[in-house]
Formats: sequence, C-alpha cells, structure tokens
Amino acid sequence: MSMPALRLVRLHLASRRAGPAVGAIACVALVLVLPIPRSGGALGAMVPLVVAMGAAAVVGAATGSPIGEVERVTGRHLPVLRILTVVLLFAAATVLFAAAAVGRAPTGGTLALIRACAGLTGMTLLTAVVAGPHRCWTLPLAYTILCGRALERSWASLWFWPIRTAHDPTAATVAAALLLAGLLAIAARAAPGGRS
Amino acid sequence: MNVETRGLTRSFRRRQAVAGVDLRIGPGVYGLLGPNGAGKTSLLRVLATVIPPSAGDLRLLGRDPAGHAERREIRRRLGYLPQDLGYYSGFTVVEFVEYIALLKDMPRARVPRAVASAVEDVGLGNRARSKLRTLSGGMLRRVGIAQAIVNEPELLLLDEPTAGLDPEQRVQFRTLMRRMGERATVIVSTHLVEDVGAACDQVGLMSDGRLVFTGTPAELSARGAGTGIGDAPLERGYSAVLAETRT
Repeated sequence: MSMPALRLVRLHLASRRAGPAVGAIACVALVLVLPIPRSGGALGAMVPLVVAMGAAAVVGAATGSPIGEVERVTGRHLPVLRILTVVLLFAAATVLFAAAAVGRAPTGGTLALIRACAGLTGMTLLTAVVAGPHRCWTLPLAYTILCGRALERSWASLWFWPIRTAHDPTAATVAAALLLAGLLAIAARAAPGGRS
Repeated sequence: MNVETRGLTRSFRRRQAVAGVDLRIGPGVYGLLGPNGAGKTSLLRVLATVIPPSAGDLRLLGRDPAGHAERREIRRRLGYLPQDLGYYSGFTVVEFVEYIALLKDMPRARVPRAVASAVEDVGLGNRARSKLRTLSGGMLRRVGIAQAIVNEPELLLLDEPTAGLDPEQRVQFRTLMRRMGERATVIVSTHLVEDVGAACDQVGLMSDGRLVFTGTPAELSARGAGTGIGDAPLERGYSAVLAETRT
C-alpha cells in the first residue's frame, strides 16, 4: 500500500473513532473473563452471545460518518474504506476474544463466539444502513433476546444459528452470508444519520 | 457550459422542492437567492450529486451524472460546501482538508501544497494545526470552504458560505470567490444580497422551487426601481420580483 493510501486509511479510521471502538470491544471481551457461573445453563450460554452482540454493535456504530455529504460526494475510495474499517474492527474483536479465551474458554467455544460475532456484525451493518448507525444495535439485540428464549427451550432451528454447536457448517454459512451482505450493503450505501 | 439543466425537478414525497429548473451556467460566479424553503439547498444538492433529480435533464462539466463512471469523474472535479458541514472534531484543520483531498484522488505530490494553499486562502494558516473542536463557528465555515476548494474544482457549489463570517472575512471570501470564478463555475446560495452584488456575475432567484429570475445583479436591481421593499437597490429588486411571483 502506498503512503497516500496509508495516510487516507489512517485518517478514515480516525474519523470513525476506530481506536476508541477497539477499546470498547476490549471492555466487552473482558466480560468473558469475569467470574460468572456458566455451568451448562442457558445463562452461561447467553454470556458469549451477549458479548458477541456487544462487539457487533460497536462495529456497526463505527460505520457512521460524522462528515456526511462532503465525504459522500468524493471519489471511488469510500466504499473500500468502509469495508476496511469493518474488517479491521472485526479482526480486532476476533483477536481480543481469542485472548480472553486463553484465561477462560467461553461456553460453546471460541469458534462459536467468533461465528456469532460475524453474523451479528452483518446484522448490525444491515440495520445501520436501514435505520442509521445510532440504532444499529436494535435488531441484533432483539434477535439475541430471541436466541436466549430458544436456548431456554432448547430450540434447534436454523433460525437460531448462533446457538448451534461450534462446528455446525450451516450455522457458519449463515453467519458468513450475513457478514458479507452487511459489508456489501455499507459499501453500496452509507449509513444514514451518522452525523456528529 | 459547466452546468446545464432542463426541466430539473426534485421531489420529496408529494412536494416538489425543485420544480422544472432550466439553467445554463459557464465559468463565473452565479448567486442563488431566494427565501427559506425556496429550493436553493435542494438544487445545490442535486448539482453536487448528493441526491439524483426526480425528473429532467442534468449535465455537469459536460457529463451525465446518472452514469457511474461519469459521476465519479464529476465528483473528482467538484467542490461542495453543504449548509451543515459535518466533521470529525478530533481532526486538525490540515488533517480534515487533507482527508478530503485524498478522497478526491488528488495526485500525491500535489496534496501537501494544495492543502496548505487552501488553508491559507481562507485565512486559517495560523490555526492549521488546531483541532476542529477548538474552532469557532466562523472558523469552521472557513474550514468547509477550504475543503471545497482544495482540489481546485471546476465546479464549486457553496451553500450559505458566509454564514457566521465577520464583515472582514466576508470581504476576503468575496475576493476568493471572484478569483475562483475566473476559471471555474462557482454557484453560491445565500440570503445576503450584498454578497451577490459584490461578487456575482449572474444571479438566479428561486421561489417555491422555481427559478423566477435570472440575469445580472444590475438587472435585478433595475426590477426594483421605484417599487419593492429594502434599503439597497438589489434588495428592492429581490423583493419586487418575489412580490410579482406571489400575485
């Protein structure tokens, strides 16, 4: 990557408050190492899901542009920069989750946690495009609550892919498809209402 | 012609914010006047390719902005200051202007000098390293002007650029507009008729989404001779034309 491109990426990440966003994801990941009882119950299984949802909400919120129209009417770089921001923040979440899992493995395993984070990130991005980055957490939160209900009742439908076993290929495919759809959506269209 | 529109219309639900506007504007400074809600901002947003027209023909810099590749080329050569400038408050003045310059695909070697020149042109050389959060409203407006001119645009669209500027800064800004207008098309939306009188070669007056007058500032002043409300000839012309359209 050339120097101007690196400079552009650095300035774009700064405008999206990527540094504080990574800090927020680290705080969310800390929940994984808290001494919360997780002996097989629905509550224990919900903790990683809530953590994944929290990290996804942070990534979704970071798609909001404080600059707005001035930025939107520039050249070809913006869609790529939007995707790059999400990918970098998601990568940071993955690393932080893996680091937290070293201390105490999450219920269901780290893979299931990262899978849930990927799919829920896609969901937050889609919500951000439709409802704005400030409301990007609404749909994933509602879905997470629904998944909690499914955990309690041991529902195993594909509609509740985050609570399926870590090595379920269909659940992984759904999560990847959601993330891809979210990335394409934010590349094609800026999230509305992201002005500071 | 850098801006050509025919029957340009932009609707928001059932309301026509811009209703069949015909424009042919070449290099120079074009002032866009009109009361609140006349459609000036909507027209500028269409010309800035922020929103597409609902109907009518539009060509900018000889290109059709409906096409993806042509729109990209127009945007590279466009400068735009919206009514409400969004910004990241942690940027310095230079970082903000540089960010927009890099987004506009300016050649690498030109960026530092172009940024410094734009910041100097708006009189912010001594605040170049200041964070945007520390600047006053008038200074932020000047930062907005700097980002709009950094790529030496061929089409410069300014929505209320002098809002918040003190009289001395407004005089400096008019000089800058006239200089830009020597080689580019500058369209300025404003409520301040004295800005139009001092800096614009042509003026358009909008009312209810329609362009109800086009001509020189002198021609607009002449429309108010002996009639109209206002302290200056241009104000009298402005109010006389608006009164005619309302009757």
